[in-house]
Amino acid sequence: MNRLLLLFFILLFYGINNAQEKVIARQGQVSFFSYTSVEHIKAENNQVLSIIDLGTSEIAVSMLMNAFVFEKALMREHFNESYVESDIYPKATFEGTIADFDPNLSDGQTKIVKGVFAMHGVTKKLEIKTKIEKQQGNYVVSGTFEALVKDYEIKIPPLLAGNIAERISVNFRFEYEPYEN
Amino acid sequence: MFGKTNKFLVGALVLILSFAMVALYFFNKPDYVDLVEAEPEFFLNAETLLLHFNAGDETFLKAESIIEFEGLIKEINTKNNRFTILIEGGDPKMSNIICDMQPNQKEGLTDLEPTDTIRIKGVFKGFLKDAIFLNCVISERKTNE
Repeated sequence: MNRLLLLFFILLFYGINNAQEKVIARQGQVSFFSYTSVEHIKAENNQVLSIIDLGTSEIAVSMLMNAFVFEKALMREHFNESYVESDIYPKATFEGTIADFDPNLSDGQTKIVKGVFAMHGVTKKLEIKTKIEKQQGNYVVSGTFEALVKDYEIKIPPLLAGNIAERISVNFRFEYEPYEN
Repeated sequence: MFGKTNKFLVGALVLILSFAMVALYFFNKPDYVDLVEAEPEFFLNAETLLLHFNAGDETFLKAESIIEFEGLIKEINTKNNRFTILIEGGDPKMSNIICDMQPNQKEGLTDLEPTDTIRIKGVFKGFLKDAIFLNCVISERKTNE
């Protein structure tokens, strides 16, 4: 009986402790692609922050819009100054929950992340299909989704309308490690 | 041999070609800033830099300004196929400085390791949980020996 009680408390303690654990990705990668017949535009941000609370399955992402790296300097200038206005709206954020996430599962899981994405002063509800893997004890979360330029009130001058796709493809990959703080 | 009209046409053509070449150069200019010779706006130690941000002073540094800073290396990694140095700011559990290194800095990184002191120059992008610098170059290196 005493042994059973001890086992119960050990499991309870482990469960609580595990539930409070958070993991962090300081160098998450978010890239986007715009394909048109006139021009292909690709940009990468390699310093995206993300934190997952393994107990509540909540996920938060934050990125600096001016940290996207483009192939050409002119693309970066247009992106920051004319389209996303990164001096006025320096960050894009996502806050959501990973539905039915089991942090103890060692196999890969495909889950839906539901949450709110805020960029350029516009907030949109998103549902993103996400692949979650455990590599050497750390979580790797990756996926892709599409965003409509007009949804985020990004105004493209008529002269450049043919250069930028109406639908932008966004890829992300985060490698998490234990959050020490 | 050339008439006045021909001279004018040749002049106009040269002018148009020159303009087109300059426009093409600016249009295709790669998204890359070489900071080796650039003059930094500030020199700070990593601890001071991070103290300001941890105190909520997010406007302490202007985005896109070139900053030089010195601190202890916490980690060198190649995540996302890029060379990155993490500089700690006193308390290893607190914020760091993330330095995304320029590709030409690869050789200088080979003999560096955590706890070495390093001086880096980079373009400040902003602060999330860590201060983020891109296009970083090693401006002067000192080891703890």
